[in-house]
Amino acid sequence: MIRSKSRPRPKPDVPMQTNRRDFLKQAALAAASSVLAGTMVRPAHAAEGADGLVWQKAPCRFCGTGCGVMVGVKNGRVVAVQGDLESPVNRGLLCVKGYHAGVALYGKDRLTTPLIRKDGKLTPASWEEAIEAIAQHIFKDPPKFAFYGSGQWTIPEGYTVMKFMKGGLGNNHVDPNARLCMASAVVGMVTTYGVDEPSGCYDDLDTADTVILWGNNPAEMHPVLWSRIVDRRLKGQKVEIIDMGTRRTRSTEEADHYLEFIPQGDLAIANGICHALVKSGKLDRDWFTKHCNFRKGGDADGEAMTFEDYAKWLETYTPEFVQKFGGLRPAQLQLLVDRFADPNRKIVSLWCMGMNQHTRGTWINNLVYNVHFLSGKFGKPGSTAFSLTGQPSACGTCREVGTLGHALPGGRIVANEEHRKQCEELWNVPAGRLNPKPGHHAVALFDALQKGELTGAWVQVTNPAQSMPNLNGLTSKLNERFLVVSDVYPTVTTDQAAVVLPSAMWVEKNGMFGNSERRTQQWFKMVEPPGHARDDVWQVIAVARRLFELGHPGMKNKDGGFLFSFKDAEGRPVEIWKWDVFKATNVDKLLFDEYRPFTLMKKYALAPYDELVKSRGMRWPVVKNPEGVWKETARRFVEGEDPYVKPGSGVDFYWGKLKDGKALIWARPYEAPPEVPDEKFPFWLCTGRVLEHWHTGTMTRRVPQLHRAMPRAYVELNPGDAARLNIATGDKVKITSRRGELVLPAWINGRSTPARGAVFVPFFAEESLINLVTLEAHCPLSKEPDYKKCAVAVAKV
Amino acid sequence: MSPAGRPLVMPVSAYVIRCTAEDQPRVRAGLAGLPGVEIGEATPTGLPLAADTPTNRAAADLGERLQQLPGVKAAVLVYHNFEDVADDPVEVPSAPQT
Repeated sequence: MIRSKSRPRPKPDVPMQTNRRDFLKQAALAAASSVLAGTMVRPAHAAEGADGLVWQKAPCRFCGTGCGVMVGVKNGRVVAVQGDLESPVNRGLLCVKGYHAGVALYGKDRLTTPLIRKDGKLTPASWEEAIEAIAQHIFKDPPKFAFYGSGQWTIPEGYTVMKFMKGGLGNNHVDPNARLCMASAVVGMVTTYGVDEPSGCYDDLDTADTVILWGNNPAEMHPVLWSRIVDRRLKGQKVEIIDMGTRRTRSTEEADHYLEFIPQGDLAIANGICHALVKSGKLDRDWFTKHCNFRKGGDADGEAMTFEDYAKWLETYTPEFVQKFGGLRPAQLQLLVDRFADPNRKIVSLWCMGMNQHTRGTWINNLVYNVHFLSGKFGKPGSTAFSLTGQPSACGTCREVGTLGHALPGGRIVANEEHRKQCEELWNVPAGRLNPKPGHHAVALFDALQKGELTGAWVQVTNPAQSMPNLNGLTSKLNERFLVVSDVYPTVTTDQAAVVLPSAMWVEKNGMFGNSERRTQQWFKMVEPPGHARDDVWQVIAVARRLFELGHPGMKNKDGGFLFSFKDAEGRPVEIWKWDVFKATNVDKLLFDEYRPFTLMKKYALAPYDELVKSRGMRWPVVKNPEGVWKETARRFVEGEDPYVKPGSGVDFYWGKLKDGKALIWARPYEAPPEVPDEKFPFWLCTGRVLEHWHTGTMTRRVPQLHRAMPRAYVELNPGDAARLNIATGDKVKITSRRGELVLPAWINGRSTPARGAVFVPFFAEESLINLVTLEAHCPLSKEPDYKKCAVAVAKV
Repeated sequence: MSPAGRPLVMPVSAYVIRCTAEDQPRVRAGLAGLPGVEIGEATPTGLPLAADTPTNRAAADLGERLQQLPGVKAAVLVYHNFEDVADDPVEVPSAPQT
């Protein structure tokens, strides 16, 4: 933003500023003291603080932890951020990204006006021109248009797109970037206990005796949750941390044990633990007999097997097998076995992209549940298996609203006739409007664009030209298609667009997120978006309205009215496609009130909007108790906590595949990765994130503090490999795969250390696109690509 | 004035320093050498601290230095006021295309 020259500014050394600064410093000290003592809280509603700022709650804009942030506003600008002491997630703490979430609003190259490509150049245009161009393109051939969204969509944003595409166009080609980060966790849960979303919650981190990290680096990726674990040690509590990984990270520094495994070897290790538990007889037989069935096969259905068959099947996974394919020595494997064999030990397993981005991502999810089920370490305080999410509403929007090619809101699926009927009724659209054929998943969607089978797509809140794997193979022809991109900053994806729409960001709009532990969080708009930027929800509804005016039949409801017809409290129609009306209306509440009945069908049972306004988020299912109080659920499927559990069952997997209240223990084998190092490409490549930058860096690289702390991408090498190749820190290194190459500076003995024979490259830097090198190979069940292992050559340039 | 001729921007930050009661004397000794730092009332698990720094870069450096002090388990930023900074043009990182 350019400073106004007409507005007088105090010089930095005048007494007024000094006093203000002293005052702010005391306010800051009070905030820190409050966090330590847990005393000061701010109300959820907007209120002026002693510092003269108006403070209001919001969830953090970045990862899936769902930290509560208090946002301080002055003169229409966000000027301060504080961790929300009242938030049960973070209790006043934030990570370095969260503390700069406010600064991320004010990068000087914010997109502020619509742009349309003319003669090869993006040219400023009016909203009317942009909306017309998009509507005309869709109108020509609706089935060949797709929507690619995000785990950063708010719940109402994702819901609006679902209604527009599936309820309006009858087109299921909607998928989110969340496909790239947690689809394996979803299919893992669905195949294990019949429904998505975790049973446990963050509270389990407070009481676990042992926390096992399965290829996970929460010290950098989920730092607030990490501090929740390690702070227990400062309070004198014993909590053991076991880090299983393919590189030493900041999380390893705090770990009691580091168990380095061979990429893909987690499949062998998990089966090896189960084998040893069964062989030793140190199982919780009562628990798994009461709550589990056994299943074999590689697909999502499988076939029944007995425990005895399963025990026999496990015989392959001896300590020798685990050492050969998993890389753990027998003593290391035994260390894990001993923990699970201890009936009194409470264990939490944590994972994220390290396990989910896996060509057998679904299987490894199943196998970790197996370990917890056989040992009975599930559904009890301090014992659970928990997949963390990387985006703020991957759960709330992508998984609960169901913004996936095969899904409908509230756990419905397009292939199910009854589900389609339910949605048609709730959306008040004619019977038969919904298309029964699942749409493309993310990778297939970009493949279809590449091949021209889809002629256009609308991308919101994500950056696929940087984040998709094998970019040359999947995104090199985006500029030949009708690509619409809604975003807040220029990206490598907006560079390819035919139309760019400037979006409102975070507290520049109303919003709702759903975090990793089923917590739905709501916030209100606090400041205006810059220039002509507008809400993503409005953008979609405006295009829908134009299609309605053009006569597209799908934009009409059953009564012949507009698909997005709403009335105010007095029953008058609200023309929310008009920007002035939209701005003056809480459209989020209208949409959420329409969406919430969907959530009751699969017993997700989100809280009513007004309850969410009052709270710092509520974990679903949220059900009104006999006293008339809306009560959240900490642990799902657990009697006494989850209101849907059958009395007397203890644990009730009420969506279990066999409809008997039981989960499945799966016999899933070890399988080698599709590409392994060889003579020509002798190194493993693993990609990932860093503490300072969030995903493709489009926001965090606009924050000077974060950019300076991590200004460019790098390649980490093991010191032994670096010495052998005569590579020192700072040397330029070329990384080459069968798909592409990239030159990066080397970093040795830096923040992390890969295993011998492996290198690591972060993906946040658009000038260093590591996804030119990565492999497009995905889990056949979840369709989630594996960004964690492919074969590369490494050479000093 | 900054070298670029802009008015100085001075972010105000607060940290919680996680450290044991036994380590607090040496943590305090380390903090004594840092300009612009004010320490609040300690608890058995840490020290509250507020700091104003002359530039954004200094603020980032301070965070790093706090983390490195002997006895510090973690230095956690808990408050960040950038109302001075918000009026100043924010430097955007260059991200040239390949």
